[in-house]
Amino acid sequence: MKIIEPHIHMIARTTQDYERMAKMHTVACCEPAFWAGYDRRSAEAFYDYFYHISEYEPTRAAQYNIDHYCWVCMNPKEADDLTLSREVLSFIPEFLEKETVLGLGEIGLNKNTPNEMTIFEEQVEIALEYNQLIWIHTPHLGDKLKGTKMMVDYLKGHGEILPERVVFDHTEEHTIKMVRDAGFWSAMTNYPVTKNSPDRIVDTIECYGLDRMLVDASGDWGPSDPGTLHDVIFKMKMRGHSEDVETIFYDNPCYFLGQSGKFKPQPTCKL
Amino acid sequence: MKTILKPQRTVEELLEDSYLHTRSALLETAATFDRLQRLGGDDFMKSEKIKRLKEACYLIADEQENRTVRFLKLFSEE
Repeated sequence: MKIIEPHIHMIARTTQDYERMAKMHTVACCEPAFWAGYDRRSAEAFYDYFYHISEYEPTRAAQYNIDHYCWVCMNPKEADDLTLSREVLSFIPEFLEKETVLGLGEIGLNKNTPNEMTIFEEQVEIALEYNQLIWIHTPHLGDKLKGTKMMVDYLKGHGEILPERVVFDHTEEHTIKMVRDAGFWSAMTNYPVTKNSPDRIVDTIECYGLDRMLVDASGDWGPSDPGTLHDVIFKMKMRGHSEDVETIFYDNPCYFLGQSGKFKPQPTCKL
Repeated sequence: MKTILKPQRTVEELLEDSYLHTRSALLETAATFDRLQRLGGDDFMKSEKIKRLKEACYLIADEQENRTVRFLKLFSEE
């Protein structure tokens, strides 16, 4: 069995986590750009961060035969500062040329402010200009429903967005239908307490099927673990869906991420 | 020897600590009920075990004290 982790912040994880992921059959992982746990004090800090996730992490992952890919962007938690955000946006195209950068992500909203939305929209335009995939962060907890609706409505009304090239991450039961009805990919995150759980994720897969469905762990510097992805695999097997595990955890990521032209793992089955 | 320990944190701090965990536990309960209803239908939701779980939900939400003991007694043989 081969597993792809579509969303994990390896900059915040130990090398031992790479070893554990390799032991759990992970062959590739993807690192969207996000908040560092504190607000960065300059655009240069973002430049160094993008350099780290696009140049250094692939070498660390390669020690364990894991392909490491990343996404670059101004993350929604720091996007309220328009001046800083636009400084960061100015050098994003430079990183989009790198061979392990898959697109713009994780762009999106945090507190659903007008400034966050402005930067979201500007990054969508960059993605279109450079023909890039888009990975979207939906807000947490009480802000999720409104923020997801704002972004779905915006992208549906845009006119130039190909929904099959966009994924909405951290979807839950109250947001996944609007995302899927609009033709976008949906991802669910097994993250303790604040996001989803193995049983709820398997419930949702049972209700909506395998098409355009991803699952991730979003491991970061918080109380999280790369193994929570494999907790969902275990739960799927326990609930009798062993034969569909590889579709969700390997083939689907191959199909979505493969649209970048840079993602190397190949699917084992045809859509 | 102390016979009881006085809580050292404010009620607001305790709520802050437990709010998301409690939300998560209740959400899992809601998802479990949805799952059982989806698989078993409305009739299954009237079965004895489900009735007891629903009774426990009402007990948690009522205004009387001593919910934990009452909860455990609800699931105890006489």
